[in-house]
Amino acid sequence: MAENSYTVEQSTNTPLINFDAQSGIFELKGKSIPENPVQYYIPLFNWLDNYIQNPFPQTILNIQLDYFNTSSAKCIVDLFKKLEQISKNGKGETTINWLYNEQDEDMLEAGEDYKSIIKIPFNLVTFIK
Amino acid sequence: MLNWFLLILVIVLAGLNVFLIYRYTTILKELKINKSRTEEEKQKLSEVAISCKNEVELIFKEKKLLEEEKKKGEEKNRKTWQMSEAIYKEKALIASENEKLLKEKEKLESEKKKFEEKNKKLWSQSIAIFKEKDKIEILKKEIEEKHHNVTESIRYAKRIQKAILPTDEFLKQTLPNAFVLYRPKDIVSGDFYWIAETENTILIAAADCTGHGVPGAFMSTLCIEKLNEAVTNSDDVSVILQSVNNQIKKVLHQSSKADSTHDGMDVALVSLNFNVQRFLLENQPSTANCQIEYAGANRPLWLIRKGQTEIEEIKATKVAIGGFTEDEQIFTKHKIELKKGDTIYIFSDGFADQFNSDDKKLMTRMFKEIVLSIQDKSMDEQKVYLNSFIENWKGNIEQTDDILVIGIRIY
Repeated sequence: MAENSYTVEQSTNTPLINFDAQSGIFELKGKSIPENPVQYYIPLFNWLDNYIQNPFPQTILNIQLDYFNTSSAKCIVDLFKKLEQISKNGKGETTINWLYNEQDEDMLEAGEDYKSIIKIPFNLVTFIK
Repeated sequence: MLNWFLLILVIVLAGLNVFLIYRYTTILKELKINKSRTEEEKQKLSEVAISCKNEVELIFKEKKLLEEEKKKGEEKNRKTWQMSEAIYKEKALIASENEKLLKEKEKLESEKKKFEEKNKKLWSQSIAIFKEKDKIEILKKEIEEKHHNVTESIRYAKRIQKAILPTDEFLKQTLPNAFVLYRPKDIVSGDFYWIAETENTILIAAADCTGHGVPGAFMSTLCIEKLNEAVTNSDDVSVILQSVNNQIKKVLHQSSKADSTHDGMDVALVSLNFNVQRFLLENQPSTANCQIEYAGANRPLWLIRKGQTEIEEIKATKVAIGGFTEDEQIFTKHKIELKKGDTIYIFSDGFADQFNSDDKKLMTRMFKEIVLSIQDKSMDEQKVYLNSFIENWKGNIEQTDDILVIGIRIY
């Protein structure tokens, strides 16, 4: 049985992570530039592996990044792939909301790139900062 | 008879008279004596009276004195009483105060004891801390030494990286009307620029390897080597990128396996093909056109035609070199005709991704505006401007990533 939630406070180099298994609402927000992203995201992925076994019927990931380094980019794909797994296994529906600053064409472009390779509903949502 | 009677009577009467006279005289005498006695006595009495009076007066005086004395005594008594009452009260007060003080004293003593105990503890603790501090001091020295060694080692690595990068002279000689703004985040950098001259072209790359610092520098060394290798076989930008992708995947053993690394690089590669005239005129500025070719892996090319107020962006192929990219990935080649005064830019994402002290990202949109706003400046001036702009924008916060911007103006 997965723990109810996985939470990590935001820091200068790492994002806020708030994944709540009870409501199926996941939040990832801020910058992702840890020196070793692969290592950094291991605990989150371990938690997700558990969650995937017994997910909430509707999982929503709201992801709002200002900046991430190229190594984190790969970890973000891994995160999306894990969520994709829920739909693939028929254990629930999953939606990803990619929130980006209206002015930030780089983040829009990154969102578009992810959207093109992810096979679950992927919404590009703009916000004004 | 009558006579006799009368005679007897007269005789009796005469006798009576004599007796009476005698009696009177004696009485008178007695009276006289008495009177004088009385007088004497009277005098005596009056004397006595006077003396009595005096005595009474004296007594009165004495009485008065005594009364006064008594009054004084009473007053004194009262005062004394009052005083003693006050003293009594004072005494009671002092007694209670004493009691309080005693209690206080007891308290202080117990506190003192506690303090002493605490002191003891603190002392032993501080001794422990001192010992720990010594240890930490030693550790700190060790760490400082290690840090120094690591830093020195990286500084040395920087020399190697610098030696690998094109020299300023080569840059000036090959591209007189260009600038390279190169600002590593750390001592060594994951960004690099690369220039190669072949028979027909000059090739320039602006590359951004995954990571920064040491891992970035490792990757950059590898990628530079693979570029050098590739250019010996071809001067075609698309072919070069395809070859580098293939080679890096081979060297890093990158397969589709989950545990293989995804490291690689994003790069914009340009070849400048000046027409023959330029070379015939021994590097003199040409008036003729210049054809360029560009291929990119996630890094675009910006072009500003002379006198235009907007940027033409040539988009890159949206995959990286290395990592999960297919072995035979094609990187689209773009051919562009340029005229004298046109300017092209290739760059890493470091400039646009720089945050300021308000945690605001500069973003590509603003980077474009900045580049457009400095078109009246020479390439050297542009470098100075961009450098001071990013310096001011960054303020006192850390540089977000390695920064690399290359600008080339056709002459």
